[in-house]
Amino acid sequence: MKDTRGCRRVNVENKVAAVALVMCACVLATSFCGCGISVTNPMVLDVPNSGRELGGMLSGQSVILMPPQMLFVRTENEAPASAQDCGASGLDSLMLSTAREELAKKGMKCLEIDKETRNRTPELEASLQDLERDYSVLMRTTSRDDVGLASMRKLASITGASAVLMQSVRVKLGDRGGRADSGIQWQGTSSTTIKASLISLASGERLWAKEMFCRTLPSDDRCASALTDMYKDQQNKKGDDQ
Amino acid sequence: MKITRLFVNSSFVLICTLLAPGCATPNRAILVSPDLQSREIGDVHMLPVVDARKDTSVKVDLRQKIMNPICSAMKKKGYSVISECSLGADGATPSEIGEMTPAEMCRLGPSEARTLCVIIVEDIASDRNTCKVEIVGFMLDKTSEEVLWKGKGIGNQQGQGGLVGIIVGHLTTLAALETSTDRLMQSLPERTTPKR
Repeated sequence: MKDTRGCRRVNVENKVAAVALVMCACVLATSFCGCGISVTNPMVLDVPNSGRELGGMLSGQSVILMPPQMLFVRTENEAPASAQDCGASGLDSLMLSTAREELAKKGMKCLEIDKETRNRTPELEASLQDLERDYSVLMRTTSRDDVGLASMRKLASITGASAVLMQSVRVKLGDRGGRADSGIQWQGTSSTTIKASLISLASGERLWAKEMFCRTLPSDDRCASALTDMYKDQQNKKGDDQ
Repeated sequence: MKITRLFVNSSFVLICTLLAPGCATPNRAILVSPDLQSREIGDVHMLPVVDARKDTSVKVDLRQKIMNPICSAMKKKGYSVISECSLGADGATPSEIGEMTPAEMCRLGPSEARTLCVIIVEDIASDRNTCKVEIVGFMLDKTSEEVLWKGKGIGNQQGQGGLVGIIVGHLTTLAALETSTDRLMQSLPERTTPKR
């Protein structure tokens, strides 16, 4: 009888050890297999005090499309990086064509001023240079403080346009993040921020503005699709989602 | 049973090693005035941390987790720090402040201040078991609108997938915040002379 009890105890201990081993193996396996790195999807954000819908605004009127302001830096030290390294070759043309297409859908006429026209009209050239100098201030400030207002009014009188569409992109080039194959994960440090702002040439008021933020480089397909989403009105977006 | 214990212990050590902060290469300042260590700068007015994140889904007490450790580190480095309660931003949003030029930033803070310290949180990205924190720091001379120091701290905490990652998820955020502030402060030179 004693021998049988001893055998049973040994059996129970072995079973407990086996179960513990299996549990440990499961924990480790799930730990190392990794769940893949999820990059935050592009986010289209409303800029404070600029939450109006683009649809129906300035319908039938002309809007000047300014070339986008591009900034490419390295995440770790903000040293300049090239558009090619950032996967942003052709991004400026894509931004312009998207804006052209989306504004046309809303009934606006896009006006792009080429170099020849600028050279022919010194007043136009001077006004555009003023806007280019104040580009970053005009893109971000909610209160105008008359920044560039005189140049904008001059631009309106020369071209007959009602508003100007300014766009900017800031790409931070970092690493790509963890490897799903090894299971070791870390966040990528690259990001792309694209902004678009429609400013009235008569008052300098920001009529509409949207921002797109994505924790990846512009070469990612999701960035391109988010670019179009920026111009969609909330109502249309809800319709699309349904 | 011994095998089980050994297995558990070794896996714990392995996980801790993988969760430990990345290799500690010294962090250099992006910009530093050559005479910052010795020039007279008076008190440094530390403004409240500017939350210029686009994605604010991760909730963090910025004063407790970023501003206080930075103030302590600066004091250890020989700076006389005064914590301010207001940015004095005159209606500018945090996002706008994050994009200001140094000259524009010099208009922030109390008018009597000479030296300002502005800390901007650019991003906190947490993905259950990994976390990345990106902060930028400026020390500015309000009178000359000069940048005395600009540094960047990135805390990128690695994690594991699966159950372990889920269990220690919140710890990675805290560790990433700590790493980013440490890295930022590494790039700030120590004061070599008395402040006045």
